[in-house]
Order: sequence, then C-alpha cells, then structure tokens
Amino acid sequence: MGIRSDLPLHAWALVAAAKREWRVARRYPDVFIGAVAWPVVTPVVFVFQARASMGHGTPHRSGQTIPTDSVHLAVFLYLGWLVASWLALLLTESSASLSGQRVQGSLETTLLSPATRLTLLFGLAPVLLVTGALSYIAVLLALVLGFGAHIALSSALAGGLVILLAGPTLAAIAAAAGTTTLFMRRSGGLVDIARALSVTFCGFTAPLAIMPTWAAKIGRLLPPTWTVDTLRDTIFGGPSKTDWPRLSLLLIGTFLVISALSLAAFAAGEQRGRRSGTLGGV
Amino acid sequence: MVSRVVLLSLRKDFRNVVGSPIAVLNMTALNPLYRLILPSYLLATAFLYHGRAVGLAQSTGSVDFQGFIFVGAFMNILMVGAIIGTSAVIGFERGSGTLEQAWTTPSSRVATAVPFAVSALALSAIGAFTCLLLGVAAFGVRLRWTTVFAIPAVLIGVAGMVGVCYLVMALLLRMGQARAVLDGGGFFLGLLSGNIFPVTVLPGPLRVISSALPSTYAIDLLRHFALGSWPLLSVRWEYPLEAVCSAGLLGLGVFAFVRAERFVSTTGRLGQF
Repeated sequence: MGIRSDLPLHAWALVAAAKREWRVARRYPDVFIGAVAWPVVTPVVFVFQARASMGHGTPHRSGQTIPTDSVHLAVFLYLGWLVASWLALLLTESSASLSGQRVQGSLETTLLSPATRLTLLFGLAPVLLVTGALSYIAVLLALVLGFGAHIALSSALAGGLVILLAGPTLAAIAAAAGTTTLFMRRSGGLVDIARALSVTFCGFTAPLAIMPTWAAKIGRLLPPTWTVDTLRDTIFGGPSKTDWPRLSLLLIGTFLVISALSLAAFAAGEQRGRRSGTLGGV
Repeated sequence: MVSRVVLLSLRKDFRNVVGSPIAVLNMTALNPLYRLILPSYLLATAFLYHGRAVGLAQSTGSVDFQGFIFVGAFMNILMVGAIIGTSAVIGFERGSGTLEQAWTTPSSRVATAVPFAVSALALSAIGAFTCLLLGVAAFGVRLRWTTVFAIPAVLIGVAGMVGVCYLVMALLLRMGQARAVLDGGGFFLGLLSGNIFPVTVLPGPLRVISSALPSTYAIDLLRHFALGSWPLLSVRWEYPLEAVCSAGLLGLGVFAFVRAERFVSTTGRLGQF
C-alpha cells in the first residue's frame, strides 16, 4: 500500500483518530480546565519573586535583559510560562495517550490496522492545540484584567497566529517524545527530563542573554524558544516586529523533519516490539 | 500499638517505593526541580547585579538567592509531598482494596490514619533532602551552621503538615478523587508560605492568610538561621506563633477527618472512588 495512492484514506484515518480523541477529551474536561487555570495561576509566584528580586530601585542587570516595570514584567513571565505549560501538557499527554492504549490493550489492536501511524502520533494533537488556544486567551484576559496590560487587538491576533504556527511543531516534539513509550516500559522519566531541559534552555522565565553562551546557543536552536521569543516580540511590539515568512518556514520545516523522524522511530519501535513480542507489555 | 502499626505500615510503603524508586524520585525531587526551582533560579539570575542579588538583599537581608530558593523549595516539597503523598497512599490502598481492612484494626480511626500521614511525610522528606543536597552540590547553596537552630521550626511545621494530611484524607474520603483540588491546594499552600519569595511582597488579604500558616514561619525561621535573612517577627515570638498555628491546623485536620470518617461509615462509601 503506497503512501501516495492512499493519501485520502490516511487523512481520513487521521481525522477519525482526532474525532475519537476529541470525544474522549469532552468526557473528561479537566484537561481544558487545567489548560485555562494553571497558566493563569502559576506565573503569580514568579511575578512575586521578581518583585522581591527587584528590591527598591537599585540598578541591576535586569534593566538590560528583562522588563522592570510591573506590567511588562508580568507579560514577559506569563507568556513564557504559557509556552512552558503548553509544552508540558503536550509532552505529558502525548506520552500518556500511547501508554494508556498500551495498558488498555488497544495498542496492539490499533497496530493491526494498515492505517498510518500518524493516527497514533498526532491523533491527540487537535485537542492539545485547542488547549493551547484556550490557555492563550486565558492568559491574555488575566494580563488585561489582572495586571492592567494594554494589548492591542492586532498584537493579540498576531500572537494567536504564533500559537497556531507553533502548535504543530510543538505537537511533533511531543509525538517524538511519545514514541519512547515503544522502547521503554515507562517513558514518564524521559518526558520529565525533556520538560526540565526545556525549562532550562528555552528562556521561559528569564531571557537567554543571562545564560552562559553555550546554553544560549542551545536555546536558540529549540522551537519552544522561537515560539516564546516571537510571542513576546509580537505582544510587546505588534505584528510588524515579527519576520513572518522566516518564522513560518522555520516552524513548518521543523515540523516536517521531526514528524518524519518520529514516524521512523515509531516504525523501528513497532518492528522491535513485534519481534520481541513486547508490543503490548506493560 | 499505634507505633507498631505505624512502623509496619511505613515498612510496607517503603517496600513499594523500592519497587519504583525512579518514579518516587521523579515525583518528590525532580518534579519540583523543573517546575519551581529551575525557573525561579533562572529568574533570580536575571536580577543579579555584578553577580550579587542586591534587590533580594533589600527585600530580605540576604544576597544568597540560591539558598533562598532551595530552602523555600525544601519546605515546599515537604508540604506538597504531604498532600500528594497522602493522596497516593490512600489511592493505592483503595485501588488494591485494602483500605477497608486497614479500617478494621482495633485502634482508633484517627490513629489508623497516622501511618498514611507518616508515610507521605517520610517520602516527601526524601525528596526534600535530595533537592537540598542537589542545591549544595550543583547550585552553590551554602547553609550556615546555625541551621540546626531551625530544626525545631521544621519539626513544628511538619506537625502542622500532619494536619494537612488529615485534611487531605477527609477530602478524599468525601470526594473519592480530588486531584485538581489537591494540586491547587499544594500550589496555594506554597504560594502563601512564600516558597520562592518573601511573604512581605504578598498583597494585604493574602498576607493575612499567610500569617495563619505554620509553614510561613517554618520557611522564614529556616531562612533566618540558614542564610541570615531578616525574620518576619522576633524569633522569640515567631516560634510560639508557629506552634499555635501548627496546633490549630492539626486540630482542624483531625476534626475534618473525624467528620468525614463518620460520613463514610454511615453511608458505606469507604472503599468507593
């Protein structure tokens, strides 16, 4: 069965998988509630910490690297943590989805089907993209209503476009992390390491400028860093601050590369599982 | 009798832990590391002036931002661990169908629940000490020898945490599952106790709630003795105040637990979830 000749069928399978995941998500709405609540509530601790770290107006390094007035500081921290919590949700849920199917015994059944493995890797993605959009709206409302931030409608819409563009790439990263479920009995530890690395290198709560050069170089290579940087530039400076063609090219290119690698890794994991008879092992 | 039950239960829970050490280490130490410590460490670094936390010194009297974060995180792990640990231990007993059997022991119900609280606190203590050791080894945390004077403050704070464990058990007995409430509770307990910042920056109403929590004084006294930061009140007053708050929280927890236990006993919902 060639991938080209059966493209409509594969697309149909992908839509069906997305529909299934959407139905499941609607049954357990806590994922949506969490997507709205946590990105709004969690950054408060960092806002308080930043206020304490600023002291009483002594000159400090933050003037060059991080906003110093309270509203801009809140916007900086909230947008950073929005991407951090969204990526965390994507990583955790993608991995949990595959592990869940394995525990329930439905993974082996699904793998009997000739449908593209993209259904397993990206079936949950639309639900998680919706959670990202909800988080973004909740964060904007919190910034405007809670901190008195003035965010122009054009900036807010452009920020939404950044979320829309970055979503598939971040979902592809999460899918890649999810494939480890086929190689390890419990992939939770690896997902946690990925979360720790992203928090360290992607500048969610601090600008890359404060990091050692080597760490900043690594950070600049990572899509979550592009996402959070662009989001901050767009919200602070308006849509014209963003090089849209370059960003689109980068994100779409990365999405395609990571997706292809994830599919290859999934195929290798599936083959290994079939040979050793451990595909459904928990 | 109670101490024997506690020891046996503790041994059973630690056997379970030995079976999945990475998962427990992950839950108790690594999770707080990347959710709280690393982001706040990086944020604090952004405010350094010539390598010194001058702003923090103006707010707290200490330039040791690493110590400030890790000491707060130490108590935060104990607090959140007590909540999540109690939930995990109760969930495990319920899931395996042994909760009702534990209830049939001849000791009082309040005493029966002690092992759950002790196990949760012991597991979170492992995570808290692991994190503190990591701070000393990798993040340049240096604690003064006077830290030993804060041990009573930590112990009094832990007694208050037993009250939190009872509150969690009461909630779980009534609601069956309460993950979102517990996650939120752990977060707000840390926030109101000043886990990564001094509570002096909290707005008025939150400051009032904060001053009723024993964990606020435990963190403050620990920071004062370990790092030399300014205490919220005179140490002479802070210790008794912490003890009073701790006793109040413990009493509240036991009261809520007794009520919840009576509720599940009369409705027959002990093992349901």
